[in-house]
Amino acid sequence: MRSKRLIAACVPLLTGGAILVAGCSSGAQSGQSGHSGSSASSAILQMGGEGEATIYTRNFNPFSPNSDLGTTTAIYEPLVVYTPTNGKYTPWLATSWTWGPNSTSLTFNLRHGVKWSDGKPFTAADVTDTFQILKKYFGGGGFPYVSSVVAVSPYVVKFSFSQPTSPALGQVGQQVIAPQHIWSKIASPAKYTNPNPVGTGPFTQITSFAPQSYVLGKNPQYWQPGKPYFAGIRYPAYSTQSENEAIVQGTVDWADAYIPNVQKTYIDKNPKDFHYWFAKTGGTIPLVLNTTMAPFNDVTVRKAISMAINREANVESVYGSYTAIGNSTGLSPTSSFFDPAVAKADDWTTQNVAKANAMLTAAGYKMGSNGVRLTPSGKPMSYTLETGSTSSDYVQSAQNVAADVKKIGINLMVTPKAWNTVISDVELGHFQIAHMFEQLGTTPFTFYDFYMGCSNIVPIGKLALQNFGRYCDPKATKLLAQFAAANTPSAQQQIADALQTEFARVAPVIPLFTQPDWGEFNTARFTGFPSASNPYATGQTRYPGAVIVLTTVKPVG
Amino acid sequence: MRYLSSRLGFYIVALWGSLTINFLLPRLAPGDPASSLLSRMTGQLTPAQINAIRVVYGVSTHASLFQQYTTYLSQLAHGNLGISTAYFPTPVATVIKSAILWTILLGTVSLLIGFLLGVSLGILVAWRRTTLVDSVVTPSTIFLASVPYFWLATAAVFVLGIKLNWLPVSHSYNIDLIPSFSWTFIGDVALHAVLPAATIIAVSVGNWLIVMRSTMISVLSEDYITMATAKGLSPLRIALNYGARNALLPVTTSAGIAVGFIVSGALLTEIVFSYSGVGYLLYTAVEGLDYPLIQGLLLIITLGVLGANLLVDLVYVLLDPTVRRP
Repeated sequence: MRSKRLIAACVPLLTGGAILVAGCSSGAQSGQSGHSGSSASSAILQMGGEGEATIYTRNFNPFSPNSDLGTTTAIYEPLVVYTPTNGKYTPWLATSWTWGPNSTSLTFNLRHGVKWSDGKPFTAADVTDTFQILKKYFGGGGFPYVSSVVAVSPYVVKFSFSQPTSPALGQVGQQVIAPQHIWSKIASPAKYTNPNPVGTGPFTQITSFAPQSYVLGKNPQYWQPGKPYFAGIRYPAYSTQSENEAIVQGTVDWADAYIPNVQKTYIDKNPKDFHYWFAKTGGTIPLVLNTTMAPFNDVTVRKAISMAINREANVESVYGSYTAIGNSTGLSPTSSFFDPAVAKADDWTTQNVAKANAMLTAAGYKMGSNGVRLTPSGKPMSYTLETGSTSSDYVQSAQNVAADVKKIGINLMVTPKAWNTVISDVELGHFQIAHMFEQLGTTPFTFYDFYMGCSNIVPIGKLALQNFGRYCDPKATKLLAQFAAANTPSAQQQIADALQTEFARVAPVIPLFTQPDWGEFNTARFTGFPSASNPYATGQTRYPGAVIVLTTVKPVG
Repeated sequence: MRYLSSRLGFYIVALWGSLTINFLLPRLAPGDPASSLLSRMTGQLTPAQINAIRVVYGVSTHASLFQQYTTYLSQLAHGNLGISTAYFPTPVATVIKSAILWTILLGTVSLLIGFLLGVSLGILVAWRRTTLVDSVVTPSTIFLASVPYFWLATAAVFVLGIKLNWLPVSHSYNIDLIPSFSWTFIGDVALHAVLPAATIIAVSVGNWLIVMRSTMISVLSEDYITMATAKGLSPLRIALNYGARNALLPVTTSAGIAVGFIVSGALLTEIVFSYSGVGYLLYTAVEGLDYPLIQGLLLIITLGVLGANLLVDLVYVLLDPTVRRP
């Protein structure tokens, strides 16, 4: 039959297509065929993907916010690395640092003997050049407070700030450094994809590159002797679904994916080799209320809503027991700044429906006839609670919250929207309540400034990049300025305690729970991953601390 | 000739209209590329960093919409598709190039096999309508076509891939292999394409069959078919040369449109099988409000559909002489 002959004709079409595809889209070179051989030193660490892209482009530009995985964690390195599990700053390309008076300057002593992967030495010129490029081509790189970066000597760099900024240690300190001898010659750093990177990190060679996976090979000039302990890292591209499948099948060695019911779905498949650790070191997930509108400008209402929520049940239904519930300081209990005394003193994060009802009635919010309260001006208390529709965990959490808050006579309608719409709404102030994601820095300054600082208030209708709820607390703002000037842990702790007390007093946002930091580890081929008993880093693959894991993990045998 | 030139004129107008819509549509969505990074980087970027990214992406320029439109058209005329923000600073053309050939490969193979299978079965069941063959084949293919694709694909992954381990379930080829012109590599690509292509074919066969069957049945009731049977021509010759040839026309139109849409990728297939392709690329571009990439992909889809339609118009001229009427 005609169709049989035509089907037979498909075979050459398929082959022809495969040849075409292989030739045009690979761009691959020679090099080892990849997967772990029998010898430990040729072992390749297999990562889970980002779960967002099924193709990679060859983009290792360290200044780009969209560079390929591994660019800022394996190829390039920062001056210091912050570890959320213990609050420590580990000296990395810098060996020590000193603050100037009032935290208006920060001087780093750089490590001697570090070489770039092409053999040239790492010096202060690299640091100053990096920040110059950020300022000139990348809009300042997000450090508007940096007024100058000067090489005092070949191994000493001084940062000067236009205002006291003690959180700068975790910000400029964790910026990855690029080589001056390469980047000063590039005409347009913002448009350069840097296909053959030169870095100081443990893995800088591009062993192979294809749109669906690439392998980073060992840096022959790495400054930590004997490290890294294995030959390379492979980054396959996965959609979220395939990533979880690959993790469960054991083809992935290290990933940070959200796996529901992790014990049954993952661990039970291979209890000997499969491990997980969800460090409770993420930021606080809040309900942000628009405090420019009544009744959310009334702290009683905010606290009453908070008091209606059963946080334990919410966390249990959304994440199992993976994470900690929110408390009245707004900080995660694992934060080194967390003050348990403040958390105990205030009760508005503990569920107490009766007390919440009483508070609202006493403040003039009478119960209406249909179980919905009325504001003093007579409007029914019915509001929209929006969140991103693609975050199924937040949607479920929002639904739990709405069900709880119904019990005190406030009606919340959960409206999931695309994240872009939600973000646009909160930035412009066109929202009532939003279930947002975390805002985390290396110090509590980030969180408190984001939700209570007066300096960044933007009126409704104009684009706000922070303080979506537009809540201005003058006392907190003063404390934040003091915090920015203090650069010793003890001085910072004192002010942090005061900030926590203030947050507990005014409740600008409602803390729900701590965002867990995911981490899955397969010890069949590699050991030395972080864990609850050895929390030297979190399980996150994409943030600065990953470089500590990459230089600690060893192949088995 | 007049027919062709009038069709060409129509296509040029259609192209310009599509380009304008391609430009306007993404910009109607709320948000901007820098802010959409917020949800992706969940709190790891400070507001100052987001602002800096906004400058880098060029979002904070205050060019009017009309100015942006004219820049867009002039860049297109020079073949410059711009720089993607989701893959910044990779040019859009490079991003699309990485994925488009896999999409074309998978799409073409699935469409070809699905079309041929569907049309052949359609001819068969139309010729033998109301017999056992018709009663079994037609409902079962329609049933398959009604099954939600993602369910079928996920079930195939679970049963054939994970439980039975017969076929690979992700990527377009084994990531340990380096692409080359060897038979091992080509065989590996073919193996990885089996499940994705098979699931697409399974849900699309029914559609081709139904259209072919109904047009064929109406053609078979024509007088010239009775005449051919009376003249003693073989059933196979009647079915193919007289029946199918005339019934092919409507099916060709659908096939043409489907060919054009090959370049839009198969989003669900790419998600379920982590298959490199432009479908998921377009999805992430829309999520991240990557205007240049969205425009680039929509342009390719537009060109593909319009080009395929033009091709179908030409094929029609060959298939149906009555179209040549001036």
